[in-house]
Parts: sequence; structure tokens; C-alpha cells
Amino acid sequence: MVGSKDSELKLKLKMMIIEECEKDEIDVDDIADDLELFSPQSGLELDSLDALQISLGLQNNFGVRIADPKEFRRVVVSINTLAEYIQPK
Amino acid sequence: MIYIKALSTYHSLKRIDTKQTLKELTGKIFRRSDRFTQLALMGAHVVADSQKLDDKCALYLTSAQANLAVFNRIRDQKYLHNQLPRPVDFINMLSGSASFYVAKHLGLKGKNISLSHSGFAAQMSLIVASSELRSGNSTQVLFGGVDELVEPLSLHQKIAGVEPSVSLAEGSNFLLLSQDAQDALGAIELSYKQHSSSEMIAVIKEHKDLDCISFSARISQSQRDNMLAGHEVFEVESGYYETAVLFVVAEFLRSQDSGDKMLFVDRYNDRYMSTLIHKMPKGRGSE
Amino acid sequence: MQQSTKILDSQILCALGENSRALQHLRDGTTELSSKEIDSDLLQIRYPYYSIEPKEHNFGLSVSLEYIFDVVGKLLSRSDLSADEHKNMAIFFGCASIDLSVAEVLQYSLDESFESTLCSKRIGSGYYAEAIASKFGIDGLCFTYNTACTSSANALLDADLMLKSGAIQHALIVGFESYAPTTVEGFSVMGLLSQNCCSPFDINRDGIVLGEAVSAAILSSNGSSDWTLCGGKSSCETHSITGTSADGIEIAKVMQGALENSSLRAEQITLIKAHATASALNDTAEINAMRSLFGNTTPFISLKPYIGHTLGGCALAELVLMMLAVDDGFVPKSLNFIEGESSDMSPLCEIASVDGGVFMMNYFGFGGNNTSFIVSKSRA
Repeated sequence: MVGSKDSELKLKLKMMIIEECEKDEIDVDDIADDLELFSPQSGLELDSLDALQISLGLQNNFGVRIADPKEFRRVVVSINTLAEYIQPK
Repeated sequence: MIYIKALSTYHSLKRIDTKQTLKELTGKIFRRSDRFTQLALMGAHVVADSQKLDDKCALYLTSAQANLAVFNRIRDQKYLHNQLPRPVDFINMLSGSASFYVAKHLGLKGKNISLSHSGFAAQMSLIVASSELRSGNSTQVLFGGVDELVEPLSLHQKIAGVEPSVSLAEGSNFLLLSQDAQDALGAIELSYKQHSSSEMIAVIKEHKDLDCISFSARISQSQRDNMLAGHEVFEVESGYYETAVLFVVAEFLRSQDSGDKMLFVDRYNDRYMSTLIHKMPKGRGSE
Repeated sequence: MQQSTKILDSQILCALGENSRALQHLRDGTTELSSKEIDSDLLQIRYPYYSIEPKEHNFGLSVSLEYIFDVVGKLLSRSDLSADEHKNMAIFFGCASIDLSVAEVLQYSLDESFESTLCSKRIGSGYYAEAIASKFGIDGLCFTYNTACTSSANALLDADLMLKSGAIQHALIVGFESYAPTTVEGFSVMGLLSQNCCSPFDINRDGIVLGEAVSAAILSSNGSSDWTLCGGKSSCETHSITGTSADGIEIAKVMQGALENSSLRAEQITLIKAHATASALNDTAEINAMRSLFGNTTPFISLKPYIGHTLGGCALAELVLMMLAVDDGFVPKSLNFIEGESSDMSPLCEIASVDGGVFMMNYFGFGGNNTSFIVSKSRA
């Protein structure tokens, strides 16, 4: 199943992001699947250190390494794009 | 002589709920702060609440083992889980991060120093802080001593280098220091010398007008008995951590009936250091 | 009247070797680079690394102490301080990964039998400084600075403060950083390390190369030396915990503060030794700060391409290299620079002759710690 259709995977990703970025006040339901995570309008207020935390969270929990910052920006747009990268089919 | 214009103490034999305490104090959650940083923020916040700090106020933060807990976490990640350190943990491993968050919270832009010493962390750091004030580079120094209780306690006790009979505690104790005596709660007269036990006894005898003496938990009862020459003892049920001297100083300044002049005596291995504390009128009986 | 602080003598051990070999490298514009590997479940990467010889060693306390004792021992053996002056000297020790002594114990503590063998002997910050004091019979005040990449700069600045206030007459400053796997791993996860080389101010720079170094210097309030520590400034910028703001405004203020503290004007500075980590942000901020304060007339250099970023040890290590070169009549050239972000600000890429001068030394670090100090050598 392609990652963007896998609700269990998407829930896990949301929980990981909340935990790694210490966004206790944010609920998984606040993160829509197509929400642009790093957009100033997302309401998440994520910064470059959060990106590093998410990057290591992906590595430690999902076995995915995205070393290049440009690739990271391409892959980690929303929960959907990230899930599709982890699970292309 | 340096003057204490304000003080704050957090001190506990058990691990304080720092996140909750800090939230109650400030109404804020400090993202990416761990317990060590939260302890520092608690102490610093209370002092800053009671006195106006200049944004050029220098910050000196001292600790014995600094952020020991983060070392534990990084160790476990590395050796138990074979994982790389989390960026936030790596940053917090540098002790400077606690003082960064304090400076950010209080809007301080002055000198910001984390320093230590094997044995007399608070006393040595007070010596530098007093030079900073004397030089005129800074007119205020926010001075904090922070030590965290880290589990497992049995290991922490060994790292702290104390006998198993000594109970560990944690604390975040801050003083606002100045060269200006006006409205001061008290004053600290620092001795730069480290003494042998016999020298220490001689130094105590020279101080004829002491109202009381206080001893660090590293000094045994028999050593105390040797040193006392008819002095009252100022006892604080403190539990042990290296920077607890700051808690004792604060408790003395708050006390109503222990006189005006106290000598605090500390020991590390076979070396002794003493610090003389003067209570000033405003300090008597104040909160 | 305030006395001036003299720098009596210094010693270094770094990737370039000891004093004389290091000087030869600086004159030739050469260096010695090795590498270190990170090895975790998901990641095996080799990074270039500036090691002290022997190039491969096990990280550990005993090795670190050997380096420190070697450098401090050589320095003290040349000093002509009296026995009393030696004994009463204050120690200012600066290191970012000060807690190596704790980390190593914790690593072993995973073995349950280890804890029972640990005797109740205090472990923690201050360990190295205490070891130096006891090894060399120094009995004075003792301070351990842990302010990330500015550790030994702050150690030096506070020593200056205490010397000028008359609290002490002599100070032994030690800057130290040795290889620790966690440090390389930490910088790696922060995305700050170059896998190629350290090329400060170059438009294609891609990060820090770490290194190790031990350096030591004796400062005095009453000795005589051609070298003077004129003054400096240390402050905190709370823009971000990981670095300075790219506009360079705050670090320009620190440089200005160092000039004021030294009673000097910008045009009196012969040359600036930049912090120049080759990280994207730091170098841009420094260029902006130097431009705003000095225009593009004051030459500047980077020394990290010679010895790497030696973190808490870098302030003193780079000062010692600078003094070695100037004493030999030259300023080292900046290595690995081809093209800058803007054409008006390029580091000095040719060796330059000097017979003394006034040098600004800049260091900025994690935790918002910014420092700048100024040293001078009287002209012959």
C-alpha cells in the first residue's frame, strides 16, 4: 500500500514529529495529512533544529536516512509526501 | 566583599517536578529544555522577578556534574540502542545551553559563563564573579549553582564522590551580586586560600566574632568536633550536592536568630575552603 | 593604574605537531589531515579529522591526560617563575567536552559489575584542571570553563580580569579538545560537518572539519614579554542556541566591545584572526560584522584549515599559532579559499611579513557565546 493511503503509518509519523519536536500542545488531529509542515502558516512553528530532530527520528524509528538538506526539503513537505517516500507502494 | 541583593532557592531531597514548577512560575513551557535547564530557569526566574536586572548583567552558572542526565541518555542511545545522539541532547550536553536558556528567558546580553571546579565549584566561581564586578565590566552578576539528582542514585552518589551514608539532594540556588551595598541582604567575604585541616582550624580560631559556623556534608562529625572552638553550629537539613553552599548562605540570611556572621567550611579530599557571610539589616527576617 | 597582562610563553600540540613543526607547516602553508569514522546501525560515514599524532588512538582519559601533561610540562619546564610564583599560579582550563571524564565513566557503568568497583571519588567537571594542579604542584585558584567553542577564550578573558584586578599574579591557561566519538556524531547529526575539507569564507564551503589540540600559555601581571593581552569582550546572543545571527550585528558589537575594552580604534588593528569555522552561517555573519566595523581594509585570516575546529580549545590553540608565526616574522595565509560570497571581502591568501602589530582574535560558539580579544606584539 502506498504510504499516503496507510493511516497507521501516517499516525506513527505524526506522533514521531510531535515527540521529536516536543510539541506537546499539538494533537495528531491538528496535523492534516496534506498540511505543509514547515510553512509559517502550518501553526506548528517548526524551525531548522526541528528538521534535524525529525531527520534523526526518521532514521531511528523508520530506518530512513535523508542526509541531503535539499532532499529533506523535497521529501518532508507534508505527512503524505513523507509517507510516500517511506512506502512508495 | 560582594553584596547579595536578591536570592532564590530551590532545594529538595527528591527530584522536583521541574516542568510543572516552571510552568507555574512562568506560565510557559520551555521546549527543548531538560531537567537541568529547567532547574536553572526556576532559580533564575525567581531572582529576576524580585529585582530589576540590567540587560548587561553577567551570568555565571556553576555546577559539579552539570547536565549528567543528558550524558546518561546519550550513553544509552549509543551503547544500548546503537543510535546517534539526538540534536537537542547533543546541544544540551554542552553545559552552556542551560545558561543560554536563562539568558534568553531574562533578556540578558552580558557575559555568560558556565564554569566549574573539582570540589569547590561554587566558591571558585564566586571568586571569578567578584573579579568581574570589581573590574567594573559588569555592575550586576546573576550567580547560580545548579545540581540535579540523577537516577540511578547509587551511581550518582559514586560520581558525586560521597559516602553511601550521605543523602544526595538537588538544588538551584541563585544570588544577584553587586558591588553596591545599598539594600543588600548580605555580603560575602571570599577567601582565596585552600587550607589543610590544621590551617583551617587556625583560621577558624582567628575569627573571634563569628556567630556560627556551618559545615558542608563532606565534613564528618568528628572533623567538625575538631574544628569547633565553642561556636554555634548553623545546621541546615540540606542533603548533599556540591553547590549546596549557596542554599546554606540563603538560609542563613533568612534566619532570624542565628546572628549576623557565619563561616561556611567546605572540604574536598584533604583541602578546606571557607567563606564568610555577613547578614545585613534588610536581610534579617526577610523572605 | 591598571597593569597590562603579558603573555610570557606558550606551547601547543595539534595536528601540525608541536611548536617548531607547527611553525614550519604555517610557513609552508601545509597541514596534516586524517579521518574518523562514525559507525551506527544506520550510518557509516568517514569524516576528515585533524588528529594529534599518533593518528589512530583509542579515545580515553589516559590519552587526553598524556597530551595535556606533555604540553603543560614543556611549557613549565622553560618558565623562569620562582618556586612561589609557580605554586601560586591560577589555572584556567577551557574545553567544550569537559565532561569526557564523566562520559567515559558512564560508558563503563553500563556493565553492572563496574558500578560496584567505582570507589567514591568525585568525578565531574574540573577533573583535568585538578590533575594539572596535582601533577605540577600548583596550589592556586583553579577554574574550568565550559562555554562550548569559546571555552578557552573565556578562560583567557577571566584570567586577564583577575590579573588586572590584582587577585592573581600569574595564570596558566590551558585549552583542550581531544577526539570523542560523541562529539563527531553530534556535529554529524547537526549537519554541520564537511566530508571534504575546511574552506572558510569560500562560496562552496560545506562545513566544519573537527580537530584536536592542547595548548597552554602563561600570563602575568608583572612579567616582561613582547606580547600583551590588551583586552576583550564576552557576551551572549540569544538569537539561536546553535549560532550567531547571519546579519553579524551582535558579533560586531562584541568586536567593538573588545576594541573599547582595549582602548583601541578599528584602524589600529593590524589583522583579524577570524573564527571562520567554514559553516555556512558563521562565515556569512563574520563577513557582515567585519565589513560593518572595519570596511574592507583590515586583512583577516582563518587558521582552522591548518588544525581543524578544535572547539573549546580553539581560542588558545589559534592564539599560540598566531604568536609562533608573528614571532617568526609572518602572518600565515588562509588555506582552501578560492572564491568568496562577495568580491569585496576575501581572506588574506598570501603569507605576509610582519614585525609585530595588533591582532584581533574572534571566537563564537553554541549557546550564543561570542568573544573577541586583542593581543599585540611590540614592533622590533
